Amino acid sequence: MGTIGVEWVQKYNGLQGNLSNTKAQAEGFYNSLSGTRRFNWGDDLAWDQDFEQLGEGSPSAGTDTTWADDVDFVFFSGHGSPEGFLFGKKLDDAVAKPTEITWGDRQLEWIALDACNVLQRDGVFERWGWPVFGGLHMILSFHTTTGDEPDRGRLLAQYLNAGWTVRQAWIKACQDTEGSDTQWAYLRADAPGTDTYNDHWWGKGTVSSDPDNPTVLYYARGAC
Amino acid sequence: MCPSPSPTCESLTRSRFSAYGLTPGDREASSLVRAFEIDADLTDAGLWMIARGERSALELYAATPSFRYTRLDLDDEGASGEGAVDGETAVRLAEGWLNQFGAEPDPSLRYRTQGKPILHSVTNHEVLISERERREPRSMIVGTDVNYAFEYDGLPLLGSGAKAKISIHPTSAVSNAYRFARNLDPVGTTTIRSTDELLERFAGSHLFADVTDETARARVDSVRFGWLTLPPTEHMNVLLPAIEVRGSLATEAQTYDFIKYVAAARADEAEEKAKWRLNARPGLLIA
Repeated sequence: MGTIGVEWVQKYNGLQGNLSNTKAQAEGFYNSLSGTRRFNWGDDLAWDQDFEQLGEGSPSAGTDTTWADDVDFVFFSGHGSPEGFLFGKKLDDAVAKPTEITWGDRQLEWIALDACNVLQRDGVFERWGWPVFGGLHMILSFHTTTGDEPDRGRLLAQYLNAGWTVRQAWIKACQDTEGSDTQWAYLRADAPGTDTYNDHWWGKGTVSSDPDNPTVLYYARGAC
Repeated sequence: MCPSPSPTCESLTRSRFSAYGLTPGDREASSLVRAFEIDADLTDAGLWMIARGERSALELYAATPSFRYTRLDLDDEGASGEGAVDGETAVRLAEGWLNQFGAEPDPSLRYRTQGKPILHSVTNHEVLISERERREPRSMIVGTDVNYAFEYDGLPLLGSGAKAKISIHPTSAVSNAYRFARNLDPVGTTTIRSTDELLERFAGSHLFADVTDETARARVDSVRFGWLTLPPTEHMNVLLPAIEVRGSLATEAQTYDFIKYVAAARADEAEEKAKWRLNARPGLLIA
């Protein structure tokens, strides 16, 4: 059975504007996906260092091996930009930046970053390219702005539970919850002998072996 | 806030609008499965009834008369190497599909459905491939999406619950399509808040609660007045008049965009409940 973690931010303490539905969105995922729930951190208990690699960046206080990289599927809900995703507590610098991230070298297979513009097309491989994928299969996010809405996490979980592939489940959940101006996006890695295109949630279909040393990255985007 | 001239602002010079109730669809599921030539039984998956054959699948939403068709035998990332069809051809193919499966109100329904689909945009489904040994990523257009919106009474249906999309595969086949719909039934009239009150509600929302003029700057790029619809998985039995506000907020650290919906009509939750109105104040809406 797969393991799940979520983090969400509604209260940005003046660092950004507040959000209203990220808790419902992340906990909808957490409470609906068939799996073992491991962590649910929100607001001042959600930290960028939970997603970052120890020894990377400045300060280099990453603890992803305890949190984000210690479960199979993570869902983050909050603000984002092409440079990273944003937190409301400034322990580190309140931004989880791809330059400080390597995922999957311990456990993580899939991560949904439900935040605006994180996977914006231009320069996506320079930002979220090879160093980020240390065994990680896929990042699910958006090319454009996205709404502050409460249902997407639950719907993603329900599509995964229904046996759709991870990428299909993300696209369907985005189509259900966004207007046509919003564009979903995902980034996935493959290596000889792996097939992350056909990944399912644990127990719901095939799951690829980890692309520990990926040789190809695929980025896809489309209208919701 | 409202650019001029703007249909939105003209709409808001009126204070009373027709109110619409919503009803679940009663289209016979099995006839739709037969129309799509799917050789599979419908199974109940909670939010959907699903017919999943070897070649394609049909999901029928339980809460609304909405459905989604998915081809299961076509690659979504351009494995065939074929080029995408041009926009004009894609629209022609999409119109053909809509005429067959979803443009006109279903005569079997007792209620009026939302209006005819209006072409909203034609967009590309793009894939970029980066290989370790190659310096530049390759770009491929692997599908052409024809997107439709709906209007009713001259006003747009906002949100995700009323729209249609037909994705055309490079082989010219419809690889993916959905029609998210609502059945409308007039139930009286509703009083709309003034523009000043709507702006006040937006400015006083949770979004701006912890920022000040010294620490942040907000910019509004567009405002639309219309009816908000929830996702096709969600029950609602009254259309929600709302304004959609798009813009950006710049703080010391970042500038980011937002989309917000503000309730355009006053509503008391207890009164709404007494009238058995479901989801009259969803989380998506700034009250």
